[in-house]
Amino acid sequence: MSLPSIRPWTWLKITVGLTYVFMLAPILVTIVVSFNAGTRSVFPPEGWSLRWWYEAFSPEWQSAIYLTLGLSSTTAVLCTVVGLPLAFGLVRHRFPGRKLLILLVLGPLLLPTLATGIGLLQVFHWTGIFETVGFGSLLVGHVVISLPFAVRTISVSLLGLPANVEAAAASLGANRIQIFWQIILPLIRNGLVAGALFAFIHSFTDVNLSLFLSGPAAAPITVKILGFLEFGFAPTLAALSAISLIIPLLVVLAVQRTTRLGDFVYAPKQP
Amino acid sequence: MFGVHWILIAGPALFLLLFFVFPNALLLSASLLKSENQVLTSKLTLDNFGFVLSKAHYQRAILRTFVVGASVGLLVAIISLPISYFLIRTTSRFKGVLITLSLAPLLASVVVRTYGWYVILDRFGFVNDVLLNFSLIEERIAFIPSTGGIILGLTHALLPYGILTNLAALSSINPNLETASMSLGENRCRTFFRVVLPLSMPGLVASFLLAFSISISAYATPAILGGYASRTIATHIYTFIMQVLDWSLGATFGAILIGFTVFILVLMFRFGGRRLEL
Amino acid sequence: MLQSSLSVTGATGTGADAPALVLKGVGKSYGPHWAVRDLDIAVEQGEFVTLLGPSGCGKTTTLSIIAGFVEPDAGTILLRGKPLVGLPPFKRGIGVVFQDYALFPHMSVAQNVGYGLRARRIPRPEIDARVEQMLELVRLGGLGSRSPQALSGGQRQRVALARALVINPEFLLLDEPLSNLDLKLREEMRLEVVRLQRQLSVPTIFVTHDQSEALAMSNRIVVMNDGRVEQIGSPKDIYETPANRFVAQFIGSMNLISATVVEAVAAGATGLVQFADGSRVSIPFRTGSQAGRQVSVAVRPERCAVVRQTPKSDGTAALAATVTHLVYLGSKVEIHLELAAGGVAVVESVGGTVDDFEAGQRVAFLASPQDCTALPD
Repeated sequence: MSLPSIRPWTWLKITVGLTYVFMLAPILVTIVVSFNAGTRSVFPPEGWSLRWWYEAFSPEWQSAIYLTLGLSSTTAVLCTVVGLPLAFGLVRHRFPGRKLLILLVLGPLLLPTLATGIGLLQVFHWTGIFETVGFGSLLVGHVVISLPFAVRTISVSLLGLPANVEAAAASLGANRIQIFWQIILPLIRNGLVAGALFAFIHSFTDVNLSLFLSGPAAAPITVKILGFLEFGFAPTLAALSAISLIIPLLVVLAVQRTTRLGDFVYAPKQP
Repeated sequence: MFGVHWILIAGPALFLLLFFVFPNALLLSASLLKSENQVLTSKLTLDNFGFVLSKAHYQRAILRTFVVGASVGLLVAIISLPISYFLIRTTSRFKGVLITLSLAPLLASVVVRTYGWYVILDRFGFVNDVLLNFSLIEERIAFIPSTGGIILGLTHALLPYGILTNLAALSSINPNLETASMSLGENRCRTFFRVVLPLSMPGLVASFLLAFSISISAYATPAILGGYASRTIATHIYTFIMQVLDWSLGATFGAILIGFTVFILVLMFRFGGRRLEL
Repeated sequence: MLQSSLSVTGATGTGADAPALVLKGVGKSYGPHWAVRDLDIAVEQGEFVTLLGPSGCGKTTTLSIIAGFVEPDAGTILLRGKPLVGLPPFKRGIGVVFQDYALFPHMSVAQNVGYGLRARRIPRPEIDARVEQMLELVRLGGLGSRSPQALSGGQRQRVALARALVINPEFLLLDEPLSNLDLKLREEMRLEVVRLQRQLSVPTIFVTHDQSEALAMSNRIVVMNDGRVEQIGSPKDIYETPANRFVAQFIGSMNLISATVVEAVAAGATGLVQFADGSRVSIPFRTGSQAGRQVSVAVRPERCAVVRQTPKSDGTAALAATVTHLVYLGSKVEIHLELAAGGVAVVESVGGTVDDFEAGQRVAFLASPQDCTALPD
């Protein structure tokens, strides 16, 4: 690298460093504040204490955490189960209305979640299913808004299947069903896991949909924190925020041990 | 002809029709129905739109929403480009860690990410403390609730989306183009502006529109950092639906959001290099 | 089962049986474009037949049709007399080796090789035994537990061969299996593939665009172009007596010099042709021709010579020429000529050196008439 080219790159590095500070500082501040000894959320903390973390694990908040975990994992599983045939149909077949179906599948990602939330609330209200708000209606809504992530990720892995392996299996005597179970499924395992993970994260961090479909007995942790913020920024809420950050982080770290996720983070390659 | 694909897609497609298309259609139709005593009637009307568009405080909320959307879109596009370019071109051995770190905020809910801004910007928060300490101000300043607070919080929240979009766009630029430009006598800076920037326009446009479309319907950040003083369409919707129980006005604002989002999507597919593919 | 098929038999079928594979009038169209059309090919028992042609000539489509990955729009295919069209690939019992090997990345080498046997629900101990035996045969003994990713290109190639052969296929299809290997390994694997094919005596169609591969390995070569068969014959036939200009130019290099037929000549006979400069020579015709027709006189560069002075006419075709340039290739020298009769020609000189001639020099281009063929234009 020639000498005059060093300076612009250094400037870029400084800019990038500041961007990282901007992105990460508020999150770190939240975590630090949760260990504050005082009763207010202030930074830097007035002392150190775990009292807010004890409070964050009170039975009421615990049940909210379990509910969210149950909701998001069920969403992840359902999105994978529903997303696999969809991705298969869209990747492997060309049929009239295919573009329309892609629009339908990506729709929840493109249109405001808020509007889908209100619409679903109306549907559940008028039809009376799922007692309007609660776990059932939350689950349906979460599957709708998380499905695009699963379908896209599974599609990427289907498109990335090595050429000819299915033809090779067929020439060796495997029928369609055997090819699916013995060749395709093992080879798209990463995509299925990543798709489920992205659906889980999207569901776990959602606010805009859960806002309308939560009931008094069934509210995900994000909505519950938001509700309590109206009454002040208690350090307990900082601890809960930290918990709701740590859970998806742990899940990602656990999955990353067995599955390469990087391949699925970038926008998918066009076929 | 009924092929295998119908068996594969029929169920999921029906599910989406029932729980995605139908609710949104219902919302749009509710915006065109008259509501009496909090109950929707079957009378078609444009009164709902007339009402929300004529009241000054709703007009302000709509204007604020779009000012916020445009500002956030612009800031996200501008801030995410340098870091994306750095992440694509760096040869650091921490490249993977740096990319992960730039996207990690996506793991946190907007609520979590906005909480920190409250602590930093509050009247009794970190920034005020620092400014007072150094005697730069004499009285504490209320940075929030404010429209600026909303813009700051949303820019922060949507930056990872901008980075993802720009990473994807920049990764398709052949690094040899830059080497070629420099071999032809342009320095690194001018190479960036003459070669990289024009080629990264689709990514910039896409990240602007993406951030725009997400921020106009964001609820949590305006609710926390904007409060009642700086209301947006989204916070009004919440009040209508959950507190005033006025379905038709809530649906009307919802319809306005959907309308503008669709408009942005059309722009995105035309100018943002997006194609309707999975 | 494997033991019996390991017995060494003759390279070509004895003709006692029906041909191993017969393609009759096979065609496949994509819209208005025919990928292949009117294919008539028969492969004898134990025979090694190569489909040779430029990319896009339809050779891979032909292979996919035989394997059952593509359904033909016309024609019939018989494998040992039983019709194949309509039968799904997994019921055909045809072994296929793909250009990219298509090894299952999530399975070990042994699992890859044993895949077809498991699909046939053969008992586990027998699978293990046959896999081990086959790996020995392709000289990969002891590597069964490796992952395909941990193997070199040549080793993957052997795994792919073993996987296709272990099922005792009635027929073997090889789709450019050597094209991903580097030159040295490719030449080594040529011998290896031929050795296995001869040893197992499995009738084989091999697809390639590499003429030297085709010449070195095949019993017979099918030259294809634009979805049609141009010529079928032994490597020697194809090289020595190409049927037309395409075959002549596709395999090896060929000098083609325009001439006019002086008097009508029957197919296989010898006839007199006249070049543009008026010189005449009598050469063999592959197909008959009317008098006055334009033909190309074809002669291989290594069968021609260049001399400084035009010799006395003794029946040898001798044309006045000018040297345009020389190309030094180590073991031989190419002398490029411009002919007085029009056109250009190349002469390969094995013994000569570059110093013998120089650009611009006037010379004579010589070829013995029996080395020439008249090809219709």
